[in-house]
Amino acid sequence: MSDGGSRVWLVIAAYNEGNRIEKTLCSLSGYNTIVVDDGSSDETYQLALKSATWVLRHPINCGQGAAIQTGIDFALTRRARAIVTFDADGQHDPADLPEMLAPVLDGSCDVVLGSRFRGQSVNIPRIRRLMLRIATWFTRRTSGLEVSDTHNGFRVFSSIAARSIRIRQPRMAHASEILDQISSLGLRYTERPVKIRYTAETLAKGQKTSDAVRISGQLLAGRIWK
Amino acid sequence: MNLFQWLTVPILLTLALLEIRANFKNHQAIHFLRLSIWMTGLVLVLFPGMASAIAGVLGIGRGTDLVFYTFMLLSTGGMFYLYGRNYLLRRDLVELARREAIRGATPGTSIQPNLSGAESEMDARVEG
Repeated sequence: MSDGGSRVWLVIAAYNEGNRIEKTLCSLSGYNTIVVDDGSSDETYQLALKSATWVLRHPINCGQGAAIQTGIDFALTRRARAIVTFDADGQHDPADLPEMLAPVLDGSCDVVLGSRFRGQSVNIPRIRRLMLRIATWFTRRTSGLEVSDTHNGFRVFSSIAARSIRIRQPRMAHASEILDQISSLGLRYTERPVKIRYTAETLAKGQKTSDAVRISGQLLAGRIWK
Repeated sequence: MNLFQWLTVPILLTLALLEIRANFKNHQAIHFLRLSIWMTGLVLVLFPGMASAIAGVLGIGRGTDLVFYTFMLLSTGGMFYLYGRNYLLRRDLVELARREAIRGATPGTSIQPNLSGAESEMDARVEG
């Protein structure tokens, strides 16, 4: 065995995921996991301690983008070779991990982006699908990246990419910011099909269709106040 | 001078003087902007007819409307400025929270952390 696999770290940003974090971590047993509790008011932190490799805790709620960057910073201190961002709510399928990791571990890519539209999106509402299609079209136009899915939290970064990319958008807009930076930094990227499973719970807590306006505002603010 | 002028002129004058004093210490644009606002207010309070004259030149009509529109514009600009300050402050706060989180990182209770990059179950999975 090479040390490639053991230098793979999964970063899981979690905010009030007490109902789901344990199940998600159980499905990832055997992997190095870093849970960043983003100031949860429930028992997310305590539950994560039981199953995660490392648990970090923001003293206040900073946002998913901020939590992911915290996890990446920490993973880099652990000499990570590949860093995976993985949702805490169980939407992602751990079975997709080997396929996602391969291009980074064999050195052919710096970033691997999961695509639900190349793979499967189970129970995705029509309006959500439409909004994501529009967002993807917009991202392709603005960043020049040939992607089929934006705002998919399942990604893999090589250590070089993780060091180069700096997420400054603390909240939802970080997904678009990452794509912009992949483009501007000229990082090698590819997409891999992944399975996203929507449930009533994840839909209730996840991004709303109306968040598109908010994300646009956050991106604009990020460009004005650098 | 009428009662309103007696009440407002000293306040505006004090604010202007404080701003001039601050401007001597550090030449920031914001001090100059605020000084301009206080001075304009002072002139318009002392010479109310001037607002109407300027409004007439600009085609607004009444001096009251000119003051109202200017107030709206300044308020919008002020909100934009405060939003920016808040945005940057929040960014600093996130950085502090991040340092605190990394400093207080805790290993999970059931799994020994893989600190050295030694072989793990994951190797087998990845190499599949």
